[in-house]
Amino acid sequence: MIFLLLACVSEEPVDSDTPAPAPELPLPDLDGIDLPTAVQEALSLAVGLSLGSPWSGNVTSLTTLAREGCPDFYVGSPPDVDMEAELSWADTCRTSGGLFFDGYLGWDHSLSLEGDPAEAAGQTVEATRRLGGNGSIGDDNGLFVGFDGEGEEAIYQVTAPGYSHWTWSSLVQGTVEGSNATPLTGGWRSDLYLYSIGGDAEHLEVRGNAYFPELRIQDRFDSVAMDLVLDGALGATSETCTLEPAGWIGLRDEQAFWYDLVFMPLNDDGYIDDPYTSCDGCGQLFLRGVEAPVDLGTVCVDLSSIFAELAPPDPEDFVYTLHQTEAP
Amino acid sequence: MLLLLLACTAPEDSAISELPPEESADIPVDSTPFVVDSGIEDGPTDTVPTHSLLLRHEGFWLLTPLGGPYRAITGELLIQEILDGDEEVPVCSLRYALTGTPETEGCAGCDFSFRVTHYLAEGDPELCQEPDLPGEQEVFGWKEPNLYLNYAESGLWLAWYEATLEDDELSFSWEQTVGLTVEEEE
Repeated sequence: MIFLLLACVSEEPVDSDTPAPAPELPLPDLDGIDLPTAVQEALSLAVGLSLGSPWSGNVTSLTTLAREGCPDFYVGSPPDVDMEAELSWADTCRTSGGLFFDGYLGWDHSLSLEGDPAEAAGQTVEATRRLGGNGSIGDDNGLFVGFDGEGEEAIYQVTAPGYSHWTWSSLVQGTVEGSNATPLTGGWRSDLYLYSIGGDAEHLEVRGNAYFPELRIQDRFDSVAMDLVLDGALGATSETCTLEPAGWIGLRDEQAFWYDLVFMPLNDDGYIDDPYTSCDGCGQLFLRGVEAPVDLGTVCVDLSSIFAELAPPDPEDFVYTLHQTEAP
Repeated sequence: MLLLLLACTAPEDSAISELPPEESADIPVDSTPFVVDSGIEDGPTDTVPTHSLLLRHEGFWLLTPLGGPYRAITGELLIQEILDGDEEVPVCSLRYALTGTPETEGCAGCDFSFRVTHYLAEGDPELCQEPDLPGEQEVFGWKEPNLYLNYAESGLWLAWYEATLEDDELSFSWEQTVGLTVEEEE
C-alpha cells in the first residue's frame, strides 16, 4: 500500500535528496512444498538434536584419536575458563598423524542404579551428563567433532517385569559439527529443550530453535522453531488430544520467511477462536511478520509417528571417566 | 492482521507469548556463520598445563584358598595424587584395606569376579581431585591383563587397572598425569 501511494505522488516535484523507495518484497508462495511432510521432518529433526550428538562425538574422537599429551586432560576445568566440569581437555596441538585438537571441552556425568529389573519392585536408573566449552577435533580433511556451547541431558528409567517407564530430557545451547558428532552435513545450531516420556506413556515437549547451515527441509527450509506439547495414544485419557500438539511449529525458508503452523493453545485458558481450540489434527498456517496474506489456511498433519523415533539413550553412554581417556 | 485480532480476542491472562513472534525482526535463530574452529591455522603448537597432577593407584589382592577356586580376598589399595612432581608431599594420600567375596555375575570371559569392600584406613578423600574414587563397595572382574570395574554396578565393565596374577596374588596399578588448575596465591 505504501508503495502504491508513493507511486501516485511520484509526478510531484521530488527532492533529489530523497532516496528512492525500496522495491516491494515479493511474498513467497508454497508451490511444490508438501507442508505436512515438512512439518513432520522438522519435528523428527528436532528430536534428534540432543546432547548425545556432541557427547558421543567428543568421546569417540578422544577414545580413538587422542595421543599422549595431545590433548592434555584436566581434572576440573582448564585454566582461564569460566566453566564447571569434573573432567576436561584443553589444548592446541597436532599429532604426528596430522590430527588436531583445538580449544577445550569439559564434562561430568552421574549414573546410579537401584533394584533388580527381574523383581516386582523393579530397577530404577538415573543418569545425567553435561558438556560445555569450545573445542574441535579433526584433521586436514575436516572435523570429527566441533562443539561450541553447553548442554545437559538426563534420563530416569523404571523397569520391572511387564513394566517400563522412562523420562528423558535434553537441552543444547550451542553449535555442533563433525562426522563423529552428527550425521547432518554442516552440523546444526540450536537452543532446543526436549522432554519426553515413554514406556507406559507417550509424551513429548519441544521448545526452541534450530538452524541447519546446509540441510534443507524440502529443499527450502533451513531453520525450525517450535514450542509444543504432544501426547500419544499410549496412556492417554479421554480428555487428551492425541491428534495434534498444543503449541506451534515454525519453518524458515532461505529468504528468512517464517511459516508458523499454530495448533491448539498451550495453556488451559485457550483462545476464543475455534480453529485453535478444536482437536482435529489441523493447525492454522501463518506467514510471520507480513500483514497480508497472513492466514495461509489450514494444514493437517499426523505427528504420531514421532513416538516410534523416541528412544532414550543408553545409561552406559553417559559414562566417560579418566580411565577411558588413556592414550593408546 | 489475524494474529493481531487473535491477540485481542484471547483472555487477558492467557499466554499470548506462546504464539510465535509476530515480527520477522524477532527471528530467534542466529544464522550467522558457525564459529567452531575448523582447524589450527598457525601451524603445530602444543600448549602444556601449568600444573601437573599425577594420579596413582597401586594395590594387591591375596586370593584364598591357595590354588583356587578363589572364595575370598584380602588386600590393600593405595591412592596418591602428586602435584608438580613433588613425590615427598602428595596432596592426597589414601590407604584402603580390602576384603571381597565372589560375585556370581561377573564380566564376560573373566576368570573371577569379586565384590570388594573398601575400608578407609588412612587419609582424607576430601583432599583428592580425582572424581572416581572407590565407593564403599565395588565389583571387579579379572581377565588378563586387566582388572575390570562394573561401573556403578550398571553392567558396564571398564578396564580399570592393569593387573597380573602370580601365586594367588593379584597386583594391580594405574597411573595418569593430568593438568590441574591451581588458584595462585597473590
